[in-house]
Amino acid sequence: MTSQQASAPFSPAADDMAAVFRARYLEMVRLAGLLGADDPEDIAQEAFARLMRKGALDADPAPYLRAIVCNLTRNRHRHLRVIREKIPRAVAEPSSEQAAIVREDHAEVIAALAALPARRREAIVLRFWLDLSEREIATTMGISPGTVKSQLSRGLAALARALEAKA
Amino acid sequence: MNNHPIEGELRDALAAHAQKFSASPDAWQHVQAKNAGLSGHRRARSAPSGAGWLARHRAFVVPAAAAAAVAAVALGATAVAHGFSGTTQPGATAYASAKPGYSPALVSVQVKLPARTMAAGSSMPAQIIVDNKTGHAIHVNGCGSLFQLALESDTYHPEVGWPLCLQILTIAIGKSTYPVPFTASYLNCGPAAPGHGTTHVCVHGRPPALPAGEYRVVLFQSHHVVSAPAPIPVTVTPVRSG
Repeated sequence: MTSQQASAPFSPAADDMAAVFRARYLEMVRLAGLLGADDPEDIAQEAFARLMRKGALDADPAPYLRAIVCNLTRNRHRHLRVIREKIPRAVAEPSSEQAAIVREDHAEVIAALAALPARRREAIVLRFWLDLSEREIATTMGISPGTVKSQLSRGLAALARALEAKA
Repeated sequence: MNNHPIEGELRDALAAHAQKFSASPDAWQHVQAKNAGLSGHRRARSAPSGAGWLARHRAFVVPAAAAAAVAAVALGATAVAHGFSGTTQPGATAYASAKPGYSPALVSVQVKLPARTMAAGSSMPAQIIVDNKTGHAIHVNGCGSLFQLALESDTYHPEVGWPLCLQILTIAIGKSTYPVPFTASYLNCGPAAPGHGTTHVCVHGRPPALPAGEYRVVLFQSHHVVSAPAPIPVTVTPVRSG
């Protein structure tokens, strides 16, 4: 992509949107999944639907999509937490997907990640899965770069503690 | 910034775990449907949810049943309009409507009761265990809960309804357990001398207890999600006086 193309406004005509979808959909599904969404595809689809409703965008819609995925996943967690508080005995048995997580090689890391607060988990995933810079993470999460640095530092420390405790 | 000792392991774990999430082949159609503003694809943000809400608003439930039935018809039409093909691709998303887009045989349900005898007017904390073997999460347009249990007999057939709101309720892959308490009481009531239909006179603002006798626990669904299990016999005993 040339710099001229990069600075041009993104017009989400049907073909363009389909191209963005092909290029970014799986990334958004996986981002939602790594953030612990119970239905990552629904989150990703909603993010793309909002992108289409938004109209003209900057050249790269990925930051917008990532921000929407983070926000929707965080909201979904909050919603589920409220439901679980109202219905204490709900959903006691793990789903088959959760069971698969427990069986995988990196189960301890993923379990420790899941125990982090939502913002810390987002920072960790955006940094170490997507390799975003602290500034890019700050833009995605709507926080300052300093807060990103703090979230990353605390998140890594918490993960290290959790893994040491299980070792 | 120096690398943290666990960075490498963390990157490997995230990369490996990410591979477990895949895209369904009809995802683009779902996005277009959401973008078109089809309400069934949107999560209701402020709508009440959960069995607790249902329990607190039980008196409202049955009066709303007729309207809910109308809404259910509309929602069914919406789901059909989404063009779901009925295929069961791994990782795909299915939306249940009047005609589910999956084989009901792949979704089984079991009702668990802690006892087979209960006093009239008392509540029993039953559970419904749904085993979703379709390979994908199932989404249903509904409100509050997918399932209700109620007692029926040869002479009493409860009218079960759902409150009016629009939420997307999800049945996860694998086994999910839903707490579905039910009471040995009528489901609806009205003021004294109702003079119409089967409405029973409220006692302290609540439906009166069922008379003692032999009943069956029957599963009701807001949409046809699973094949109904066989009713379970339950004996309702008289309320102990004193």
